Amino acid sequence: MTLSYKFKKFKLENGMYTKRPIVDIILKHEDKYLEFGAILDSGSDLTTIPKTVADYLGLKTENAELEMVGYRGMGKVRESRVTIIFKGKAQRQEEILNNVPIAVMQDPFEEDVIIGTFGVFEYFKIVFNDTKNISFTRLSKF
Amino acid sequence: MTTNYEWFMENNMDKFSGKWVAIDGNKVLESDMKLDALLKKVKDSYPKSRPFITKIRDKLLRLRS
Repeated sequence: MTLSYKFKKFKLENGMYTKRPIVDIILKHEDKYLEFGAILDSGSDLTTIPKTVADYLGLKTENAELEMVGYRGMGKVRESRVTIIFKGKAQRQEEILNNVPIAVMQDPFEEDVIIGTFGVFEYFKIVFNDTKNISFTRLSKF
Repeated sequence: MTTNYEWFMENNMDKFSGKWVAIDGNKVLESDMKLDALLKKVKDSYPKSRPFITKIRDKLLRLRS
C-alpha cells in the first residue's frame, strides 16, 4: 500500500512563502491519541514531540535529559516511545508503527511535531516528488 | 468525503500564522498560540471531537550547529 501526502505552502513572518512536507499522523499511547499534521524531516534523526503532547498521551519518559540540536539551538529532550499511525484517505489505508523511539522536547517554546528518520524511514520507501507530493510505501520485509 | 488533512492542505491558513489550529468537519474549530491552551479549548467546547491539529509555523525552520 502506498500513502500519499503533499507539500503545503506557509506564509512566513517576512511575507514570503515556503513549502513544507506535511504528513497526516496519529500519535497513540494506550487509549489516548491525537491526530497531527506533522512535518516530515529527513534531516532529523529522531521524531520529536512537545512535552504537552507527551503529557496528554501519558507517555513515560526516561529520567535522563539529553541534548539535541533543534530549531532554537541546543535543547533538552527526554526519550520515550509511541505508536505512530500514518493515515491515508480511507480508514483502512493506514500504516502503523509501534514503539517508535521519540524525543520529548522539554523546552515549552519547542512546539513542533516532527517526523524524523530513526524508527520510521527504515520501514518505508519514501519519495519526495518535486515539492508536489510525498509517497510512503511500506517495505515488504516488514 | 474530504478528510481533515485534505481540507487543511487545500485551504489558506495565512490568517492563523504562528498559531496552532484544530480542524474538524471542514472548519477550524479553535486556534491558539499555545498547544496546551488549544487542547483545553477543544476539550471544553468540542468534547466529542477528535480534530486534526497542526501548527501554522510562520518562522523559517532550520537546524543550528
